[in-house]
Amino acid sequence: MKDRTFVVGTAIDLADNDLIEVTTQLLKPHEIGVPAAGEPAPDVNPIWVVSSQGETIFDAIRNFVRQAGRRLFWQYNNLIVVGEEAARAGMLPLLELFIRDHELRLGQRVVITRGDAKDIIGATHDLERIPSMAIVDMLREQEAMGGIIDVDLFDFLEQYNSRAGAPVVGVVELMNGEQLHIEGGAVFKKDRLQGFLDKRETRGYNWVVDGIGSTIMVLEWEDERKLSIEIQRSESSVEPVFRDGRLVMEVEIETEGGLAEQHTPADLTRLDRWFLVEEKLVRNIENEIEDTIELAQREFEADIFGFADEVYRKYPEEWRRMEGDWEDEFATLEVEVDVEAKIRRTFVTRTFPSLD
Amino acid sequence: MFQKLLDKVKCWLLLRDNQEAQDQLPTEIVEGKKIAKKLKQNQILIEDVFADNYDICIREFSVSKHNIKDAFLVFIDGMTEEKVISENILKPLMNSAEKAIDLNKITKSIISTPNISEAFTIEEVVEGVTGGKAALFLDGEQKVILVDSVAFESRAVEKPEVETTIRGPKESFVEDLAVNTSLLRRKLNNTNLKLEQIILGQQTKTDVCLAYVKGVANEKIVDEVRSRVSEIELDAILESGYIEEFIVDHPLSVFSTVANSEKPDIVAGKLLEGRIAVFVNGTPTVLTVPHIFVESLMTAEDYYSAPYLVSLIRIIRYAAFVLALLLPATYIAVVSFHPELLPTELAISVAIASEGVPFPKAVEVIVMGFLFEILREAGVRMPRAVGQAISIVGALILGDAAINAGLVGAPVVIVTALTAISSFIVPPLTDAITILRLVAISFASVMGLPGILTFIIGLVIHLSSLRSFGVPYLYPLAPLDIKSWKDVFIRVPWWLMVSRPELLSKDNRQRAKLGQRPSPYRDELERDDS
Repeated sequence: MKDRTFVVGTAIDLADNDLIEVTTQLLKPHEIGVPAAGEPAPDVNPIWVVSSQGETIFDAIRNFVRQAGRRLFWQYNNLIVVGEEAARAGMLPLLELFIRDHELRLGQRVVITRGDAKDIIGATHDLERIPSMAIVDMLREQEAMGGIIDVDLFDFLEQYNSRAGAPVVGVVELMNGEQLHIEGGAVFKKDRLQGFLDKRETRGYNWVVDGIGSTIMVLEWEDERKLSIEIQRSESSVEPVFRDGRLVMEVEIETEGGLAEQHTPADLTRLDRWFLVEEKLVRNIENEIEDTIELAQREFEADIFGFADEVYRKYPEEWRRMEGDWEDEFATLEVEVDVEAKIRRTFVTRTFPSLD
Repeated sequence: MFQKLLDKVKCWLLLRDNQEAQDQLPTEIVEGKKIAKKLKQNQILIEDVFADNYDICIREFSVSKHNIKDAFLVFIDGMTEEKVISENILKPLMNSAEKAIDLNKITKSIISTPNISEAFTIEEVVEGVTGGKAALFLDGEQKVILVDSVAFESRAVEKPEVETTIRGPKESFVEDLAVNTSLLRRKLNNTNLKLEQIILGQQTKTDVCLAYVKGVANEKIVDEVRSRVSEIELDAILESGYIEEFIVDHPLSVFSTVANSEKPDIVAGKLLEGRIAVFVNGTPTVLTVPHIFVESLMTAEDYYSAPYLVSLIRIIRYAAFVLALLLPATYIAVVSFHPELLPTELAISVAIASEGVPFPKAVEVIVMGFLFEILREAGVRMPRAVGQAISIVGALILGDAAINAGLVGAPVVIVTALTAISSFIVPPLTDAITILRLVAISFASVMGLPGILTFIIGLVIHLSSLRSFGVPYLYPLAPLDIKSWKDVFIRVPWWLMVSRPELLSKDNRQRAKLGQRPSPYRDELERDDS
């Protein structure tokens, strides 16, 4: 172990002259040492960021030895950041080595960034001394967010190889040029980046693909004051049906949550108001989903929800007929969204603390 | 002048004669000698045999007030009770008012000690005397009375040193065979308990005793043990280990197929499962056979405490066995061959610890293991007074300083310490584990995890080839006997321990009556039934 050095994060960008630039976070073991009891952790950066260029990824990686003097140890690389430019040119050639090589794992997270990936890898994080770990932790916590996508190499490959063939990958940004920050998704068609989804659109996507663990829905009451619903459970089912010979996708969402916060003094526990809140919630979710579907159909023309696979699973015969022009079929596909949302609880208090 | 020369020659001849007499071994002198009618002849012979022994006492006296017959008494000072000799033998004999007397009369009406036997050859007499008996020679008789008056200093029954328990009996065997068998007899108050005597060792004439419960022990195994033990020809048996090495099935295996214990309750428990015990005079360590692997992971307390925690602890013991055997090897294999197996954070910690350590992992582990064995040996051998010095040197200097100086990484110290502690959980297997651990380490440092797998496969093959007096060593795991698993990984409550292990006690398997599970409503249920 002594003559190796850990790679904990990797960035891939395109460089001039048709070269590929790989930037890695290397761990400096002697500087991440556990501090002795009672002493504060030393305030040194344990990460060494190194870039190397080459004609292929492997070429670039081999060139690291000239700078590092140790063999790079790739097993613990858990993040691959790809720059926008490189992603638009096609991801698969860039990831091929990471999939093929035995040292690397398919559990490595893949993220896209607008701009250069090496800026992300070069950034620091105040809580976590290893910035790539911070990004992985942020992705892992996405269950509580709803507006984030957490995809590893395996998921990416799976989506890429599916009949729909439109992966959606998470996005990392640098806020104000220095703060790492995760939001939204990047839409691919096969391995080429098509465009980005914002936070709301990403949640619309997650509703359909069952990616919501928990999220906060902000609604507006009649007096224009806000209230938050904490979604605690959500299940979706996507079912293709033929109606009068036309393919219709039935998307059903079943979700429940609790009234987590209200800024209006109105007593929402009155049954008529309660139902009204539920109705607002349903409408809100439906809007989110429909907007995302429309975006996918009109702008990206990419079947990000994997409708193609649902059709194939249920109607393999018809799928064979449609396979050739699925792209057109998808663009004009009728999607019916049916949301069933229940608000189950108000947590510790029932109403706004002041009586009206 | 001539006179002087003659004297010298005489002297020289005399010396040569003496030399010849001295060259003859005492055992050769007595060989085949019957007891002579003439008292003086016997006395000379006895004096010859016990020549150069300061502790031998030959007391001449004449029997009865009327001095009708000469007699002498032979015994060894310090091995006999002086009071018994003076009060129960000499006094009644000297004061008796009988006019005519012979040995029969003496045994019947004069000597009042409980244990008396007769001997007809000098050889028997000598053996008896060296064993602590007093021999009474009477003029004109061709036999001798041996009076059992053995009394020598022996250690009191104390708490066990090795097999300590919190619950249950706290006595342990001592060096004296008679005390030991009596301790056992008190546990098994039953005539089915058989204690067979075998005398071994040409020089030591050590009493060895086979103990088994007739009707429970498998007769074939008893015969086998008896023949193996009685065929031993060795000049000295000082400890039961001598016998163990002669009767094991596989002398070349590091696993011993003979168990030992120093506690009467453990030995009694094993006898009741159909095992056979070998007691040796002079040692508190008693052998029991047949010995199977799973026995090593059981303790007496398992049977005295409530079964739930006991079962959990037993499983922990199995885990500790595996740890003690494989932990250092696994550590080497994972860290030097397959570091990708570690979770990221752990891998980083290990990498940090290895930073600046000059040796490969295998060397680190072997050196630390070696240091530990040195400390352990020192801990056993050292005088009590320097104990603290050893612990300071061991813990502070070797442990802490070695890490601070960057000679070894902290994880290696943890691995060594955990391994050491684990190996003490299964004392009967500590020997085997210590040796096999080194083998596992060498396999691991050459081949990584596949090496460990190879080692395990080899070990299992070896273990399954072992037998202890006809019982497979891995029984009841292999051959599989699910019924006996009630007392392997877990220990079922006593009311479920219905039968004895099959291979140990073939004929008499019933141990408890079925259906004795206690319940508060038992009486009512019975009433309902009737």
